[in-house]
Amino acid sequence: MVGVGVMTLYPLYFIVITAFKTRKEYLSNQFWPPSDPTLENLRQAFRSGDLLTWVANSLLLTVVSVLLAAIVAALAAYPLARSRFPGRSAFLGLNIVLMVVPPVVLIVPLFLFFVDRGMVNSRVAVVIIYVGLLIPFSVYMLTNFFATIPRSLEEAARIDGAGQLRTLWSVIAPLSAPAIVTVVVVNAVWVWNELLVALVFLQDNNARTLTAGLTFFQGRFLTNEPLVMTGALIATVPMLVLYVAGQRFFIKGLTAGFGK
Amino acid sequence: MAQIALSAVDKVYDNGFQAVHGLTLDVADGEFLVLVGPSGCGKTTALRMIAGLESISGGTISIGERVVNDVSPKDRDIAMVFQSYALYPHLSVADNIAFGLKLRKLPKKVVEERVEWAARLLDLTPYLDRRPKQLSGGQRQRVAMGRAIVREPQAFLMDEPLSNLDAKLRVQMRAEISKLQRDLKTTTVYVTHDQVEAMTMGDRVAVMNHGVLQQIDAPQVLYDEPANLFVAGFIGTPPMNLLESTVATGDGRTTITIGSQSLTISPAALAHYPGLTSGGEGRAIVVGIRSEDLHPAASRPELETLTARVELVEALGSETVGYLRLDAKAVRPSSHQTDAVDEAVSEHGVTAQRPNFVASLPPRIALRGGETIELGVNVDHLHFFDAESGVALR
Repeated sequence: MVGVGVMTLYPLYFIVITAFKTRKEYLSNQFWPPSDPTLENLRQAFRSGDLLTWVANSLLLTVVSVLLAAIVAALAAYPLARSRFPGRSAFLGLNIVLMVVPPVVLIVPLFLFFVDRGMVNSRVAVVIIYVGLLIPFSVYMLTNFFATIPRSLEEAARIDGAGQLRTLWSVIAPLSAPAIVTVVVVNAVWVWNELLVALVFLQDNNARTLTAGLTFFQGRFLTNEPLVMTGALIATVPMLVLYVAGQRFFIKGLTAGFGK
Repeated sequence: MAQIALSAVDKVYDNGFQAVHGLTLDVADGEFLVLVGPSGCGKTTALRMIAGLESISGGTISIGERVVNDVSPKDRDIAMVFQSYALYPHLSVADNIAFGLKLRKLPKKVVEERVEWAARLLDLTPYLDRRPKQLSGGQRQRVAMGRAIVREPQAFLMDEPLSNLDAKLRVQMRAEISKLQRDLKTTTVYVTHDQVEAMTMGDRVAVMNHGVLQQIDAPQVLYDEPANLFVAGFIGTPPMNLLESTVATGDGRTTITIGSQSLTISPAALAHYPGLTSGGEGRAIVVGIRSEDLHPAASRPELETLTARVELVEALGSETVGYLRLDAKAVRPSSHQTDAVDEAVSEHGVTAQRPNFVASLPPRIALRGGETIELGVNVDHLHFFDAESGVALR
C-alpha cells in the first residue's frame, strides 16, 4: 500500500518540485524541494508562445467532446435501460466490444478517411473521433445506472404530466448526477491526456493540444527539465482540480449501479 | 370527478400470459372501489391499465364520458399513489406536491396556494422544505397523497399504498385515506391484497382471482353472500370453514352430512340457497360455516350440533379461537387450483392431526388440546356451493 502510494505520488512530487527550480539547481539537486523556488519557468513557458494556444485547444476539445458524448450517451442509455426493443441486446453487446477496441488500431483507417475529406488539422474531425471513442463507455455506465432508478418514479412523472424528455431532464438526470459527473470526469481526463489522436491529426502548431505540444517542449529546449516539468504541471493541474471537485459524486457514481 | 367504466378488458402480455380476462366493471362518480385478490390475480394490472401505464389488449376503458384506450397517462387527468410512493428524492416535499401543477404551467401563486391547501389538509405544513428521505413512512405516504389530491384529478388510483407501513400506522392511514376520499368525493380505485383494508375502506369491493372478476359488491354483501368458493374463502378472518358434504332430502326436510355427522337445514338457509335441493339425492356440495356461527353447545342448546376434537387454542382476549379437527374433508379454495386440499398423507405424520375447522368462541372458555367439544351450529347462516364448479347454490 505504502509502496504503491509512493510509486504514484513520486512523479507528481517530482513535477512540482522541479517546476519551481532553476536548471542550475536541478542539476545539483534532483530529489529535494528547491532551496530558492522560482517562477521563472512558468514565466518562460508562457512567454515562449504557443503554450496558451495549446491550453486553449485542449480546453476546447475537452469541453466540446465531453459534453457531446455525455448528451448523446444519456439519450442512448435511457431507452436502452428502459425499453425492450429488437436489437437491444445486440446493441449492448456491440457496445462492450467497442469499449475494448484499442484506439491505436483505428488510427490508420480514420486518418485515411479524414485525409480523403481534407480534414487533417481539423478540430471538428478530432472532436468526432473523441466523441466516438468516449460513447461506448459512457453508454455502458449510464445504462447500468439508469436501470437502477425505480421505474415507478418515471411512471409518477408520466401521470403528473411529464413527457419522456421532460422526465429525463427533470427526474432521471438529477438523480443520475453521480453517474453523469463520473462519466464527465473520466472522459475529460481521458481527452485531456489523449496524445495519439492529437499527434496524428493535429499537426499544425496552432491546432496542437497541450499534451501533444509538450512532446515538442523537449526537443525544442534541449531538455530543459524544469521547463518540461512546468509544462507537465500546467497539464496536470486542471484535471486535478476537476477530479477533486467531482470526487464526492465520482465515488458514488463508480459504485452505484454495479451490484448492490 | 367522473365515473370509470371497464368493458370486457383483456390484458395479454407479449409472452402470452393473460393477466386479465374480460374485466367489466363500473365505478360510480365519487365511489371508493377496492380491487382485492391474492398476488398475481391481475388487480394491479387492471389499475395500471386504467392509469394508462399498461396498454390494453382488448375491450374499452372510459373515464368520464371519454374512451381513453389510446390516451396517454398524462392526458387522462388521473392521479396515482404508488406502493413505493415514488416521491422524487431530489425535490422537497413542496416541490414534490407541486410537480404536476408546474408541468401544467399554472401561475406561481395558484401553485403555492394549492400546495399550501394540500399540506394543511395532510398536516404536512411543517415539512414542506424537507426531502422525502428525511420523512417517516407515514409522512411520505401523506406526501404521495398530497401529490395526488393537489391536482384535483378526475380520479385517484391507489396501488397498495399502505403495504409499506407498519401495522399500527396502516390502521391509522386507512382511516385517514377513507376520510379524505369522502371529503373530496373523488372517484377512487384502490388496489390491495389485504381483505381487511378492502372491507373497511371500500364502498364496494371487487374480488379478483386469476385475472377474472369473481364478485363485486358492498363489503357486507360479499361477506354474507359470497358468489363462489373463492370469495367465501378469501373474505373474512379467520376464513370460512369449507367442508365436503352431501345433501339428503326425505321426511320433508333437508339434511347434509359432514363426515359422519349430519345437520338439518333450516327453511331460512334454504330460502337463501334454493339451489341446494335441485341437484337430487346425494349431491356433492361444499358447505361453508363462518367461525362465528359456531357456539359452545351448552350455551345455545336450541342449535344443531357438530362434535370436533380440539387441536389448538388461541386466546386473543376478546375471543378464543379454537382450531379443531372434524372427521370431514376440508376444501381450500386456493388461488392455484393445483395445490388442492392438503389432507393427511399418513396416519402418523404431522398433517394427520392438522386442524381443519375453526371456531370463534367466547373469551375465557376452558378448552384443552385433545378434548372433544360439542358445538352448536347456527344453520340459518350456512353457505352452500356446488362441489364441481364452486358456485354458490342460489
